[in-house]
Amino acid sequence: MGARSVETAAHPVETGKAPAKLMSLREAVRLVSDGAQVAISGGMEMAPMALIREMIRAGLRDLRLVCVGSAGIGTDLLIGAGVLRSVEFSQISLGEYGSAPHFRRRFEQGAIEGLEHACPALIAAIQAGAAGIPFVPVRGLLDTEYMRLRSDFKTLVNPYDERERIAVVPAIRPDAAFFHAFMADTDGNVLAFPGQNNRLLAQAAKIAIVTAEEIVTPERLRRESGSGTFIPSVFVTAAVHAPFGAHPTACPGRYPVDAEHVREYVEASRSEQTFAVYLQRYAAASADEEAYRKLARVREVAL
Amino acid sequence: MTKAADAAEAELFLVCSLARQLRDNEVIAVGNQSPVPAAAALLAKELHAPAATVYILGQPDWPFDGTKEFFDLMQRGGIDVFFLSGGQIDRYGNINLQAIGDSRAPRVRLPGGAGSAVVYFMCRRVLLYKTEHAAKGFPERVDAATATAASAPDIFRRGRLEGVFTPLGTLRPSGPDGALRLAETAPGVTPVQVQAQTGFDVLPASPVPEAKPPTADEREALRSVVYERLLPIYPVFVRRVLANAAAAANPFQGVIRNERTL
Repeated sequence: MGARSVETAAHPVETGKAPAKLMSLREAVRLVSDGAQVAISGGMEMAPMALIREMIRAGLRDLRLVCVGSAGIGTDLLIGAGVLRSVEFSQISLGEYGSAPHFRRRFEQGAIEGLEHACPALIAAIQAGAAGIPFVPVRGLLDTEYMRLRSDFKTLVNPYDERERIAVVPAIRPDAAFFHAFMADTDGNVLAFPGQNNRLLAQAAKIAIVTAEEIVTPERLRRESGSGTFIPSVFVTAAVHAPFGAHPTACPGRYPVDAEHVREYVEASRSEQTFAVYLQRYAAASADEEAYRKLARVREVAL
Repeated sequence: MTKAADAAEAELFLVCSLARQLRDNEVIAVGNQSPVPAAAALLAKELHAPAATVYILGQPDWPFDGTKEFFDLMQRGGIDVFFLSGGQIDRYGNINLQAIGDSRAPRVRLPGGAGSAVVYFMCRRVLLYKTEHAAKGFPERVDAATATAASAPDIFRRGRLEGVFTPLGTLRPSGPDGALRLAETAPGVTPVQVQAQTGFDVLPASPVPEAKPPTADEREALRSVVYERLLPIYPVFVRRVLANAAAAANPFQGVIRNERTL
């Protein structure tokens, strides 16, 4: 359940210590163990792809993934690489590039456990996790398929207005949160993409591991804090320098989706054999992100 | 016209058909993977709803902190109009985005409901759309009700189904049970053709009017302003559908476009 590493790397607010937060991708991924509940953000933009590839290289297994917001190629890659026992999600798709091939195949084979959530309700569950409360009431959901599929979604009579029934969903408090950001500074403060809920997610998770396009000084991060969501280091466990860390998904303002790579991925996903070749090429245990950046020719997609 | 051009032209009509439903001063929001409604919202704002507020998930200048603030606004009643689609849409406007067959052992796994199970309840006017109109997508009953069109009186709901918009026409809820009936056909499409492509009875007793084709103004706005605004969010869609939007109305459009890019 990831207990060993999760406990030793707990938030400094919980341990009273302030460990150095800058670390390598390999060190950061080692903070998570087989079976852990790991939350990620990002669909076809700002997915933590460097972390996802490193999870595959590290040979992690049986992870219980939570997709915070619409999911895309990152989640599909984790499913295809056999890293996951279960996936909690609201939607998984490659957007303009079609359906997510491994997600479809594994679900149609019954080879993976799915926990379906509605996007606003899932964000509310993350908020409950961040607030340290056990569950949260949400609108909608009642009499839909979700109430049939999720025995942990319940119906209450509104205690303040008994004419109303309302759904409640359990808080989500992941063992670890993984996300990609524009910048981190040497103290572990982060400038995140404002289209995601990463500040909230970092608070809900027991540890938060953040990759960033750039590592900068605290002064520079403060100066630029208007161009994204500021996340103070108190909510961050590890900050990792990962240029093109969202590739092949987009990093808004820096690089677009690498359409050619996504098409290569879709093509490679047609059979287990061709997908094994893709994994060996881009996420082999012996390789690293520097090798990936060369092989995927990432610089050619810069804006 | 080629098959690809026919498909683009059908989607172009659908964009215009949705845009014509949107009103000035409304707060209009567009979710994930929804290029057709995104184009419709921007088109309406450009032409007849200049004071409308349009939020498109994925827009570069997203004003909210994450999606959380946006969903909170929606739950408070701050969004007037939203667009949803489905792998299946049934006679009553229930939608299925989860699975064809048994949702626990799907024959075809669909991408998932995203926010629809909350959105359908919380936004005042919900416009359903489908870019392909075929009988298998319009069954009598959905295999899984990802989001429902109506709720019991003890469930809080402000969302109401306006209609279902497709390249073949518009279905609207009618009668005491709210079953969908054909309210308008696309240009050149007959009610009998729509019925043949729909898995439940849609023919009303009265004659069905035909929609007007995309106008020159609509085509011009789609090719120019909407194209530019949507390019960062849906590059594949805008190049496929909007780039030649004015082609049918103006045979010299290709030339003009080339001059612009030079």
